[in-house]
Amino acid sequence: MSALIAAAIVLVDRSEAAGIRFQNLFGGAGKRLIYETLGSGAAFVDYDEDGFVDVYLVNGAPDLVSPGPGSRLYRNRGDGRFEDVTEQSGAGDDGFGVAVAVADLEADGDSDLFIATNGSDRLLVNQGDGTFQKLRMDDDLMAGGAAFGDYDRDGLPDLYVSNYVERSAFEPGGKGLELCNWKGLRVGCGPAGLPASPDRLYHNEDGRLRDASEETGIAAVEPSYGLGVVFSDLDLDGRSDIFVANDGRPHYLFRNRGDGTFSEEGLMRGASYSGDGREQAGMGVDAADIDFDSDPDLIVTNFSHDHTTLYENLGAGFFTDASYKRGIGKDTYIPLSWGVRFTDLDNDADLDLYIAHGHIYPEVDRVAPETSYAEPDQVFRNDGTGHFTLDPWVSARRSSRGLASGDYDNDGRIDLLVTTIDGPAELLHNESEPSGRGLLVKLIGSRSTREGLGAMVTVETYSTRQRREAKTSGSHASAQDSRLHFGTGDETVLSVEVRWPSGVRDRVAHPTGAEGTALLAIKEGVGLVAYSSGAR
Amino acid sequence: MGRGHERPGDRERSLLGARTLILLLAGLLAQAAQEPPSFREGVALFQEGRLEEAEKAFLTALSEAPAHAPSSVQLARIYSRWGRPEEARRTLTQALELRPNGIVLLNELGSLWMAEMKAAEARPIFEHAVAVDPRNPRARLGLAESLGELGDLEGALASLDEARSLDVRHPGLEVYRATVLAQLGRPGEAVEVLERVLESNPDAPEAQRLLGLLAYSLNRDSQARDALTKALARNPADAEARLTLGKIYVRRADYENARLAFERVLEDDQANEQAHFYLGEIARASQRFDEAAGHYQKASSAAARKGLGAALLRMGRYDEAETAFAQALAEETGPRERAETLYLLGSLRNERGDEEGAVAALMEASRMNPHHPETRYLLGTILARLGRGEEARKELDAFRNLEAFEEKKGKLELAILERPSEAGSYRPLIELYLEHGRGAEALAFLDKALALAPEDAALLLLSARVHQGELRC
Repeated sequence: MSALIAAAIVLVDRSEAAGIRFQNLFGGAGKRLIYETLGSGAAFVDYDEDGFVDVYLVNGAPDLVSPGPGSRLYRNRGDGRFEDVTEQSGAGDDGFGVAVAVADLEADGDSDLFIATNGSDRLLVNQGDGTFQKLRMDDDLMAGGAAFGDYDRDGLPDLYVSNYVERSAFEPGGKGLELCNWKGLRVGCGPAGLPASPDRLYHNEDGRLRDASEETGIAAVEPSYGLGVVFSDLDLDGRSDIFVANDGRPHYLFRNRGDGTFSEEGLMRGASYSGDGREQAGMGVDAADIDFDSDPDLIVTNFSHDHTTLYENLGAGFFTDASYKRGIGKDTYIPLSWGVRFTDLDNDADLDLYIAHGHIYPEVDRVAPETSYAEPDQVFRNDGTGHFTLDPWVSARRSSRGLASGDYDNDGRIDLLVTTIDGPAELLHNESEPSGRGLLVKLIGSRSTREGLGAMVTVETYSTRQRREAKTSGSHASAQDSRLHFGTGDETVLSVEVRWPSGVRDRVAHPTGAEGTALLAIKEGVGLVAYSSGAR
Repeated sequence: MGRGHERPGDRERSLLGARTLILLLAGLLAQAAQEPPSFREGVALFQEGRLEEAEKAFLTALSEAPAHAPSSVQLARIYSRWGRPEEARRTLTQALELRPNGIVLLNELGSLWMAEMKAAEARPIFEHAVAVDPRNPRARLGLAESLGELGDLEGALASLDEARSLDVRHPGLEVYRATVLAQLGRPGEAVEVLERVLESNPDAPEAQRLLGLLAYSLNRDSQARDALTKALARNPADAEARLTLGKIYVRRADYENARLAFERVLEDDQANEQAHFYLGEIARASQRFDEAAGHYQKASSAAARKGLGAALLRMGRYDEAETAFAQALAEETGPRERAETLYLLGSLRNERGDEEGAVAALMEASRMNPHHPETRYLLGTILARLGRGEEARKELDAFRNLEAFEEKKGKLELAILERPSEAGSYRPLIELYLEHGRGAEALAFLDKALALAPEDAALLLLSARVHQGELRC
């Protein structure tokens, strides 16, 4: 967007230097069971409220009954290095973890974590002293994703858990144990043909999560193969809607009716199928305004030999498949895609796109030479109008799954955390140069959720007006830095305005100096409560 | 099954050519005693391609032995090669005056007429030849071919049957029998005939070729691929065989081998439109839209115009795409094809933000083919966006029904593929079509099922329902 910035995007894996030595295990190496292919997610979360986002990495297990190597929490020391605090924090867990969601569940000032697993889910309640109390939420559902959002605007984050296939499919005689044909390969069957699990929406009642799927209408839809979930106000009516990417089935767009219930309107609103009416294998999802028309557009990653789908919001929450029109259809056609984030990687004041790729069949290289099990991720750059072009930067070849974005060194450039299935996690440090200025906005809700989930933040410079929604959800199985990031190019910020879900509006004029990157904290009803210039 | 300028039967004739040569040589041996001295010299010159000298030699031979049929035949062939068919025929006619029942002369003269696409002239010649020697395979083939060319396929088949009853066996006759059966709409029987031919003559290239083409038409891709591969090993320049092989690869989504096949066709014929069209399709399916557009532009069919438009649409070259769609629509007559193009036009207008224009195109597409799910989906979502809720719901309900239909259809088609020789495997699919008021589309499946079990009462009832529906339509 900014005329000045023409940075080459450079993302460098600094996980080793940062001390993040993590190894994921997610089922058998042959990936003969469909649930073994999903991989685990990751979170950027400032659990100790020291101003630096920490890293949580979910881990799987060898099978549905054996304990896994355990999920890990890495504390950011603020100097570019992390320390593994899993044991002392009590955040570890050896369940078959899939997804992580982050929010301050009890509005007590610190972030809690929800771990969706292939079995009993876990709630890690932050005790505010660097430790967590672990609660089990008993169910036998096999998770696909999880997200926090405040659908009833009561100031407490509610939880949506998308579920995948029924566990029974993998019991003796179950169809999930059978092999199917894919391009001549014998691969695990599913999810098509396997029994699907229903998703759950939990209402937060003073920090306790109660299953509200029935009363909200979420349970009224046919169970599907749910994966990516995002809370977003898609029709700009001030209420958070929920979009769920389903694998091989129509996606669900639950429109918030404002009375505590939802109606599923994905088909009518053009966001359930590809533009030509095909069901796609939805994996990851994100929502953000890519074309400066104020309303959030959607992106859903899909299987190989099918494009990632960009649903352009044409207003009032009606969508059309603009994948090719917007420049991402062709180049995303071959890889199999998972985690996805709209984020401004070059700080030029528009949202770029990062997509994590990796096939699900280890033998795929034998039958489809154009793709491979380990494939590089892609970056697409926004030209300032919502049209994307594939960037020359490519990651190492790996079978990526989860993806979280956040600024772990507070330098105003968005970093990424990528998980791989049965492999290490990569902490991709953003070293793009030259880079424009970055603004990080931390919201502190009082009547709204502490993270301000659902708040609309507008940043104005002389030439741009960017609008973002506060959320930690999106991508695949992962949770995002709750701070909002805005690249502003070479321009000074004129104002930051927050429209909180409670209806409160806060406006901060000229919050930054000329020095560049800045971190702001805006408290609901109070306005600017903290300001610091960034590390650069 | 057509092959451009070649006529059906040309290859069978060439197959017989070798045999004819053998017969001719046998005849020559038999006549060696009366063989004029210049004949062998003529044959040698002919083989060396020294036709003018050969002509003189054969003329000399005929002056030495006017009734020497092989000399007349060879002379006629020289004239024929020089594009002087009348002179060739006159040579043979003169020879026949001396030997009215000369079987070699008759067959050669009949073949000359056939080569000139004059089956009506050839037919009595071959009838005469068959009367002279009812067991002569070349005469039998010539008669059958001339009847076939005249449109009397049943007569051709009867003639071949008669030959078979006389125990006249020749691969060429069987290959032509297969050709006739295929033209009579009995490709399954034709394939069986060819399979038998190939059992005893595994290297018969024309049988392999025809088997490949027929098996392709019957969706027997593996058999077709094997047969065509063998046929192409013998004749790598056979464009139709290679195009068909390419289409098999396309059907199996093996785009790499398909591409190689079509590119090989272009090596011999750079302007081959079918090859360009399919290369366009492959490039488009592989997201290489620029390359696709380049190939489509070298093909003139309506399908190529449509493909070009679709590729340009993906590249955001809307004006050019719209022009291509307009060109396709100007040529397309079938409602399904037109509906598909109108759907693409609707998509284009939707991308451009011309929602009313998109609705107009999609409504027309939907009217022409209400069973196209993509159209109903896109139309429904645009109508919803425009606030035309009731119409949108109707379209999207139709879309969902079509989607459910397609899903069921897919499963039932798979069931047929698993048990293709069981008539019962077709029944559920035919019933599904009937349930959705689309009985006419089940006709092909019904025919296949009835061919397998002509007396099956349930199938006969279904047939009645299908045809009743058709009458109502």
